[in-house]
Amino acid sequence: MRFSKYILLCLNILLLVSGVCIALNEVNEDTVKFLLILCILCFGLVHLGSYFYFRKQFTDFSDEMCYYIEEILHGNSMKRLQNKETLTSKIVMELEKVENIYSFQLSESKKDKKELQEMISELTHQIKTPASNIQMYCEMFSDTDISSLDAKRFAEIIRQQLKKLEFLLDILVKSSRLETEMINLEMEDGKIVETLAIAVNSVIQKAEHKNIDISIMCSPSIQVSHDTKWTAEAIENILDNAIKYTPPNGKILIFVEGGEMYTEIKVKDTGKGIEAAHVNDIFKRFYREKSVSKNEGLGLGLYLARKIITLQGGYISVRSILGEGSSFSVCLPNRIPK
Amino acid sequence: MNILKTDNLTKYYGTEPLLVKALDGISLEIERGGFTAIVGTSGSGKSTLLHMLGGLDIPTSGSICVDGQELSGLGKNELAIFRRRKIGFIFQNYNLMPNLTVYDNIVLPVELDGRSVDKEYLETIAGTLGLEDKLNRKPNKLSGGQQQRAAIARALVAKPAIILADEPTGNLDSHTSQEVIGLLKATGERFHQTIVMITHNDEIAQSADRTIRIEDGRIVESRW
Repeated sequence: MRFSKYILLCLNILLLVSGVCIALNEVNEDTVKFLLILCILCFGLVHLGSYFYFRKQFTDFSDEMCYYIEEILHGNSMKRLQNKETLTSKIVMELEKVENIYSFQLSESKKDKKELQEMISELTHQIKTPASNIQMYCEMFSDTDISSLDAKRFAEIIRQQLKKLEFLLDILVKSSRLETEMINLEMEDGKIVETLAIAVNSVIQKAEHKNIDISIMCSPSIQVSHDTKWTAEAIENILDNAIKYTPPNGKILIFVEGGEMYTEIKVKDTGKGIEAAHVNDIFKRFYREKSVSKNEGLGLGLYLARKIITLQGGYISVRSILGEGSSFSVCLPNRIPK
Repeated sequence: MNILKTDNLTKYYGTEPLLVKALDGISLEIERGGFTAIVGTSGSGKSTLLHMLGGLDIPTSGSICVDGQELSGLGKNELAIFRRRKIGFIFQNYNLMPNLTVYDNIVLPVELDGRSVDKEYLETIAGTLGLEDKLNRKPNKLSGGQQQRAAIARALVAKPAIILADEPTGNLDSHTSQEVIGLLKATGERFHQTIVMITHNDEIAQSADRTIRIEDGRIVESRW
């Protein structure tokens, strides 16, 4: 490609020279000879002229585009060029679209960064309380004249605080692994019912403690390509949430249904429900309902659940009636998206 | 940043005393990249509003600004090009060309613009929408849900900044509806598109980032 224009030029000149030679040797009459040479030279000139003309057009066009690219980069909208049936307009509009997408992504990542900073400050705040509690009770331990009863009590308190710390760190580790996308989802065809069993087993104690009945309605033959471990984690977080908001003696129903494109895992509880105004907030990082803000938790469970499901190409939706209960739908695609 | 902005938009039909106010002073702003649901009873003016936003209809008064462009400032041809390059429309009744294959239907907006089709992107969309093996069929050989997905693919393939969907699940059963909405959300998020969707199904509206309720041509509620 690089040499094609030189080859074209050489061929052109060769053609002209040979034409002139033939005219000089073969034709005898002087006027005809003169006219013929003139014709050939004119032809050559027109050829060269058109070559340089179109080349100039191309360089002008690219110069123009470069200028517009600069303008777009500086955020200047090319109003007068939009919506025309010209090449320039087409390219300028495409470029503006690309610029829009990138500046949007930039602002999104800035927002993310801000959120992360807030997370760190929230986290330090949450970790500080148990840590300072532990420190305080440790100091009381070093006091020589405490009764064995007190010692037992202090040890119990320290154990509780440590548990709280462990819980926070566990969530933190999981979320940081998801954030940095260090996890490799191992997508395998697996039975949904087995994944559900793992999830239910890890929350069954909490449920029994509140005398909440968990039942699963799932055909054992339903298979979906998913990551068993992380999907179980997501379902566990949803169940955990359901148990937290369902009063004692309530019910949780897990219902699985295969669709044309997605398999839906529905987790229905008889809890207090979600206020319509907050339905979109519950999946936000660090969102916690006011009435439970005393309980342990960071507001990361549902956020993590959604992240895990989205990474697998699925989505979570929620329907809720205040006072009657909520229903979370986890939809996993029946086939892996490319 | 707002990608859609209307100011005191009105659309009247007829004259007094038979004046019908389809839209009666609508001022709204929609953020870029968001997923907005417009809800309201039938005849409340939702479709008129969507058609206005997409430049398919001309308001009686008021202004519409789409992606920094005042629509009233555009001529007829300019408006057509504007729609082709910036807006993807999903119609309730699909509006697929019956004599073209699904593939030709999907690439139509790109080919109209004289651009070449981004094959890789088209494959991704068709894959996500589960249409790969149906591209060579005629629309009438597809189920309602599949036709709807073909219409969605057509709206997405030109990578428009804005997708306007008029009851995209109007003719679908509730399960397929959820699937279609999920897909719209996922693709919208992936390609940073602004989605405005009309629905009279509150359940579907709930999955949007924002809901705008319209009654008698006025916004009665707008919440995030």
